Amino acid sequence: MFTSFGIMTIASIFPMLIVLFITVIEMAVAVIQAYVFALLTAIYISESIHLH
Amino acid sequence: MAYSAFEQFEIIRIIPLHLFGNLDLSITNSTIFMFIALIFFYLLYSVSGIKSGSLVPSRWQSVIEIIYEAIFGIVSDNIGKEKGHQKYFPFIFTIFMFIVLMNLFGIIPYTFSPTAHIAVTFGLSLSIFIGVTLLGIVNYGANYFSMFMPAGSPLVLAPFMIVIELVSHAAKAVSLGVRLAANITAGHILFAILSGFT
Repeated sequence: MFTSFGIMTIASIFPMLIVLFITVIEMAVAVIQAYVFALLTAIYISESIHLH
Repeated sequence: MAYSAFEQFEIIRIIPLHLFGNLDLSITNSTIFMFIALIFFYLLYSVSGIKSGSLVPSRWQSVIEIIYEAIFGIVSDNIGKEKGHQKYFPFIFTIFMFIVLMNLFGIIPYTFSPTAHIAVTFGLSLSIFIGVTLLGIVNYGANYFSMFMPAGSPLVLAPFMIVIELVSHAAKAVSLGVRLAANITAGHILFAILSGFT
C-alpha cells in the first residue's frame, strides 16, 4: 500500500480518523464503566446496611 | 496465520509457575498489567497523597482530588454521610482506581487489558456479592432474609416472590462483572476490526 501513492493511500486516512475517534470514545467508556462498577458496589453495600 | 480480532486477549505465561501439580500461579501478561496499574496508583498517591500533598494542588494532585470528590459523592449520596458509613469509602475508591487504571492502560496499543476477561471482573464482582451478603447477615441476622419478601405483597404470592427476589439478588453478582468485561471486550474488538481497514 505504501509503495505506490494512489487513491487508496488517500482513502486510508479516513479509517485512521475513525480509529482515533473510537479511541476517544473508548477512553470515556473505560472511565464510565469503572464509575458504574463503583456506584453499583456502593448501592449494594447501602442495601445491606439500610434494610427496608 | 490469518489475522484474528481475538488475538489481543490471549493470556501468555511469561514466568511459568506450577505449584503442587495442578495449581497454576504463572506470572502472565494479565498479572503484569494489574501490577502496572497498582504501581501507577501508588506513584500517583506518593506524589500527591495526604502526606506529600500541598495546599495549592499541583496538576497530579488536582487529578487525585477530582477523583476523590467524585467517589466521595457516590458514598455520601448512596450509603450515608455519617462517620460510620464513610468507612466503606476506601474500599470503593480502591475498586474504582484499580478498574479505571486497568481499563485505561489497556487502550494503549500493544498492551493488555485484564478487565476484558470475565475471570477477572467476575472474581471482583463475586467477592463483592459475598461480602455484601455477609455484611447484611452480620448487621441484621436472620432478619436480613426479609428482603426476599417485599413488604405489602399478598401472602399467597410469597413462594413466587421469594423465588423472583432470590434470582434478582443472584443476578447482581453476574451482571456487575459481565457488564464490565463485555464493554471492554467490545471496545477492543472494535479497535482490532477498524485497524484492519487502515
